[in-house]
Amino acid sequence: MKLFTTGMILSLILLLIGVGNALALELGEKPPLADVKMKNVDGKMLSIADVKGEHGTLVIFSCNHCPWVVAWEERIASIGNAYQQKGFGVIVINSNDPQPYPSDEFEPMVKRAKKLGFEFPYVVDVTSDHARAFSAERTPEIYLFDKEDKLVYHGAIDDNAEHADQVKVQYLKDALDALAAGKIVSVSETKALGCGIKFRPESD
Amino acid sequence: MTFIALILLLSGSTQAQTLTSLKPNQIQPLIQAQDGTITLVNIWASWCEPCKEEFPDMLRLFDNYREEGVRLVLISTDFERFKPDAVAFLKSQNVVFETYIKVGSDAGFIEAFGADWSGALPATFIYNADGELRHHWIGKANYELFEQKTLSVLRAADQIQETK
Repeated sequence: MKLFTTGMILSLILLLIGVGNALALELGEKPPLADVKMKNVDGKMLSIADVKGEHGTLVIFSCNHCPWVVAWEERIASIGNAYQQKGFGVIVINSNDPQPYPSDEFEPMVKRAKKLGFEFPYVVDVTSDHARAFSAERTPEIYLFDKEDKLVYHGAIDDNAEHADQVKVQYLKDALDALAAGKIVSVSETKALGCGIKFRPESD
Repeated sequence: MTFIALILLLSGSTQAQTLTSLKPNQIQPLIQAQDGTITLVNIWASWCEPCKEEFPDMLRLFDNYREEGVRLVLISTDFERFKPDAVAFLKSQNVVFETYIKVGSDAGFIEAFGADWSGALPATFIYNADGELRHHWIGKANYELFEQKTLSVLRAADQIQETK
């Protein structure tokens, strides 16, 4: 009887762990909440599906003030602008709650997009639900989908936030170039440090 | 080193932090070398608001449970140019024991804690006396959470002791 109970408990734990892992966006999965519109810095409402590109779609969770974002910002702008020209959809999402951190308000987003010359949307995830659905945890965090909306790359822009001139591997560019050439993305998951996303309280 | 000496001189305090550099391959040895009953490792940065907000509660927990063998390992992830800000913050929190600053790649660093960690800050990792990871989380904690996790590791250690 005791063995049976132990077995049941173990199975339950394994099941829960499995469920936990299944919640993280996995390679091959489609972008969650792809049709949900978000307000862009130009005032228009846009969804991930709206910006979908012929070669793929690049989704970046970001914000206005995190030093990791600031360190990578110019690279985000130049990669985003260049690859949008090459037939990729690009959308940068701010999921941060501006209540405790006013630097993440809409106006600073408008200023930042203008200052950096973003030619792609920088939108507000007003419920933080996009970050939750993607299991995004930090800024910046990259999700690249292929032309069939399948996740092919998740993680960092490159291997050196602090020193752009010391980058050895440009993970995101390599992944984008692979997609553009119809090739397989060789490095599909990477990690980097970043500021934890400041989630708004969950809506009922 | 000269720069560090200058900071010490200018701060006018012999207790100023110098933040020992820590490479990814030095992290597990550091954790394993801790001689306490529980090692709490906290990853923070001087620009990270939630990191700074949880500091007082974390330090209070450390003070209250130091005699029970709690060891605190603080690792800043500040960029080189923000190191003075890290030093200043630690000073403002009256941290006088040795603390650390990450050097080297993010990827190696993130993998060094033995947890499935995304790299988001703040992050806390709790290891038992044998250096085994017992709890970890991201985001700002409060005294209650630090204490609850600390007690669960201490109680587990007690239970093992009792069965011996």
